[in-house]
Amino acid sequence: MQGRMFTVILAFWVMLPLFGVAQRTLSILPVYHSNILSLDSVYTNSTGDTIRIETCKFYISNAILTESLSRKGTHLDDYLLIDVFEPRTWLLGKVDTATFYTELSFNLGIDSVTNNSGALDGALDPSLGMYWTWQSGYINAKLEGISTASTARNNQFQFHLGGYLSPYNALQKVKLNLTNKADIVLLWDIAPFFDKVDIHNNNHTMSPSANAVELSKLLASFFSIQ
Amino acid sequence: MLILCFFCFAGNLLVTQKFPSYFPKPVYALDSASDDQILLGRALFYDPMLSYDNTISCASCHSPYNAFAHTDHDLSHGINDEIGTRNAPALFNLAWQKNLMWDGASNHLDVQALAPITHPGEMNESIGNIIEKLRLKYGYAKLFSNAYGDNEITSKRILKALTAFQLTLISANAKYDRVQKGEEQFTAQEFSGYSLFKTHCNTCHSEPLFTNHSFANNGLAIDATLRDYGRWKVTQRPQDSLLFKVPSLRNLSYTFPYMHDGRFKKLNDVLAHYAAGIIRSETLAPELQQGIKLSSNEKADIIAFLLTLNDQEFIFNPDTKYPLGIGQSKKE
Repeated sequence: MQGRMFTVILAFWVMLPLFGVAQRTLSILPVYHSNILSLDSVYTNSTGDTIRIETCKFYISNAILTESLSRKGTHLDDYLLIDVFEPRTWLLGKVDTATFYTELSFNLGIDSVTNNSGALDGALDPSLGMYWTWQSGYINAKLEGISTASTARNNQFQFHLGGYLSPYNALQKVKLNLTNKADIVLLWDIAPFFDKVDIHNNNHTMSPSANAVELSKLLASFFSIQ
Repeated sequence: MLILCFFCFAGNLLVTQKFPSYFPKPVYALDSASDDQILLGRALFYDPMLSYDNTISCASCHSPYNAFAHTDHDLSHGINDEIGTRNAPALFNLAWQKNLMWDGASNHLDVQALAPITHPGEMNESIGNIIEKLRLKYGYAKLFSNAYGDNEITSKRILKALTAFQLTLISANAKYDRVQKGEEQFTAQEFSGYSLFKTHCNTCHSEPLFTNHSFANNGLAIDATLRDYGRWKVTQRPQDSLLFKVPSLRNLSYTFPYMHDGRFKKLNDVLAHYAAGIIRSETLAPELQQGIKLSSNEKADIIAFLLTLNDQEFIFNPDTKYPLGIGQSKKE
């Protein structure tokens, strides 16, 4: 297991030039256990079912780094669309090397004010496939693929998680402690999703619902600082 | 400061939208779009290129001579003669409506257009495809560049332009309005109808827009084939079951048939429903618990008043009609 983790770190280190070597960076590293998530890989969950992930995108918004003493917060770019299969989207921002930050907080998803703000552009362009057209609102996270556990057509699973209206507000706040001044790598391990969610019975969610909120909470719980 | 300067500069280009002093404050800014943005939105509104097979425009179901409703059709039509599940609503005074659609599923006028554009039974198209088609179509590069300073075509620019045009659809010069302004007087029958209206209808169809923009269950029996529970689908709250948006009563002569599924062809049918047709259920509007019992004379008076809400100037306003020669080839 340690060897695998070493491979992950090595692979990530090799990719660092993508982000600019001299900078202290804040970036996401999406993994399945200790392997970087890949489109071509077939994973196996704890019950022995196979999983192939075809789409995995989510919004990170309102990321704030907080300093230890002053509690002063530094805002990063407001809205980022992460496509786990596009490493160029993993970089969340560049961080001041001199400052010791003790906390990183961000939202998984899009807040209700932004959801009510009409046509937007950039990462929030409604034509990017992360917006519901029949009922206004952003899809905070999209996870699609194929699993032998799924009883749906062609063994598919499709989770479009979103919703900004109470009681089904799917936005998740994430807070993590930071302990040093190194590059911040936000590890996101999706493997437990396929152990905890019963894909046999729960293989699609396409609108705001209690299930969407529960699954969003689960996705938000997979972040840790490497 | 820079922003202020920009607005001062842009001020020269703005159209000032006129609405009477007795109208409430609009929820969308009426002076934020330039004439060129409105013109672009108007070209897009009438362009069938917004649909997959280039046959259906916004105006196909929102016809300008019918107060931008689909008169004589109970349910909306789409490409390949697909029939929808709801009655295409009239488009006017949208600047005062935060939520659009019969169930309020659209939370902003900008994004409302995405629903009919992408619906497989309506226009069945994607914004990405529309952008590609507009890039190739004669006239649009100039329209975009006039509207936005350069000819880049983006979803935001398309949607904002459609909003800009639709916000110009203001209906505020019916006989009712001229009476309010002291320019005309109601007949005795219209005046009697006005009094009855204020007693029986004004809570929900509130003056001067003739809607309070709320959602209500007005006691319609569920249509067995459509099984439409209205706002409940959006909020998933049981108290929203069978609630639909209260529509404005302006321009009623042009917008028949009535109700979210177009089930009533005549105003008399509507009044008959409120008098004796109400189906009781848990979410029925409190105002309708006893129904609205009216004598036949009273019905006639109310209808006489409702006809004073027809706004001919709005219906025949050339500035909102098909934009001849703008972004369109002559054959269309």
